[in-house]
Amino acid sequence: MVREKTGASEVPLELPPGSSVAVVRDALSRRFGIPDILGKCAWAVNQEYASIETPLQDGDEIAVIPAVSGG
Amino acid sequence: MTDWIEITSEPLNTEAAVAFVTDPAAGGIDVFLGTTRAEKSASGQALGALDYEAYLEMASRQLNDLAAAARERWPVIKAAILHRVGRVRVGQPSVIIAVSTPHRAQAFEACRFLIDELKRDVAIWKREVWEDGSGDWVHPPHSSPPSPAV
Repeated sequence: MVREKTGASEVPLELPPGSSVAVVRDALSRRFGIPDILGKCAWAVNQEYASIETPLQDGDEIAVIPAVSGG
Repeated sequence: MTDWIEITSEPLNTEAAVAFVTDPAAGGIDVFLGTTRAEKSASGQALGALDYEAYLEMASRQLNDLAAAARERWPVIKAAILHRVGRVRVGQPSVIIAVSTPHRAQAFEACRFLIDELKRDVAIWKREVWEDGSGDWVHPPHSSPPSPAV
């Protein structure tokens, strides 16, 4: 869903050291103009659920996780 | 003990799942199939299929973690958790969960736990495909974003 709205499935980002997931969320919101959608999504860092405050390191993979509907 | 955990674009095979968990130590085997249910859209279109998509690395890890969690709570002998990605037509299974345990109550409970947790948490999404090819992502009505594991 987010991929369809943004036209992007992977977005490399360069961020200041000590950035948290919130910084990623804000950067993506600004770049793609979708703050409302991102505000409703969960986040994963290196394939594990994370909070907005989770600190990030170089090379981390951050994923936007909209409401899941498996099964 | 290795369980059969797989996310695949191939049609799912119930017999194979049952055969996998079958074991002389088991007194009960519980099998759950999640199937695409026929629906009609607001404009009267029939549902043709559900298209499933997964964040593969994360979903695979989560399914393995779920099997481990079930093993901590019940004496699971073997488990099979199979989820399909791609197009799943009405009546077809998108997910098969099979567990074998010494006694039947454990099999029911472990199987229920696995499907309930899978639906709540695992990074898999579906979108509806109506007769005319249109469709939107499914937003479960009572879902809230999963929180990080404690």
